[in-house]
Amino acid sequence: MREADVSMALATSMDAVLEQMFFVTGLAPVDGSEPAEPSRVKTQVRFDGEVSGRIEVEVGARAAAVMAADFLAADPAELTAAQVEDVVLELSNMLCGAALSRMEAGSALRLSAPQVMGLDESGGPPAAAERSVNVGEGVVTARFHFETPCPA
Amino acid sequence: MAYRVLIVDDSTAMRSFVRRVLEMSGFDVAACFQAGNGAEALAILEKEWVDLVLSDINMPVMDGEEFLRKLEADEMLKNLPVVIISTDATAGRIERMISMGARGYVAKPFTPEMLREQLERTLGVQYA
Repeated sequence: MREADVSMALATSMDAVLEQMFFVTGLAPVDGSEPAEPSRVKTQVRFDGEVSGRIEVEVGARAAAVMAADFLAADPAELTAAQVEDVVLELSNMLCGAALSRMEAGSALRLSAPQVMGLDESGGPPAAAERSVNVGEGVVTARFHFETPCPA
Repeated sequence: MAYRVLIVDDSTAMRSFVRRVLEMSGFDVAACFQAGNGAEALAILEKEWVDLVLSDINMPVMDGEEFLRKLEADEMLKNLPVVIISTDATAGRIERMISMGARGYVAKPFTPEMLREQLERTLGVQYA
């Protein structure tokens, strides 16, 4: 699969998940060169099978709280940090599954349970695709890293 | 008609979201039970009658496939309508779950309208 196909799958999946599950409208792509917000939630989902790798998702802290409140139909001020993390974990799970399904690389894959990562955790191969969007209250960034080549 | 529904997903947030979207879609919920995996769902089904199950696939302890197998093997539960709600939208997975007894499949992400259309097909009704 070409890098452009991966990028398209990621972009289409991000828009669909954010619009349909988080009711975000007016998504605006953001230049990834902008500095990341200092306070954010970072998660990853690993996948293994025909291809292997992981998706990383980072959400600005304020955006995460507002998105969690919208997802749970709750008051942002009443949500716990654990509830906000739970929603960002589910976001990363949906992004991973939706993008891999669009690449038709998902049929033989197993997804791991999503995990919260430390902000400094990284390493491994560079991202094959990355996209950032402004959801109004902050930025959501997703990156796909493949540890094996995608099927052509 | 008001339905008794069982939602099975290891994410508390997703269970809450599905419950909310069910109601947003116009579905009349008489009772809503929740389980974090297939084993918990079976324990609920031993005590409660439900009209519809909405289940994820990838769950710890007992995943959606094993849960479907258990339902199919139970004389009292094998005709219970199960709709799968999953991030896996590949044709192969959908075919597999339908062949195992699922009556419908909704891929995440989904809108209330998508969920409603699938439930109407599964239950053979149209609801306002």
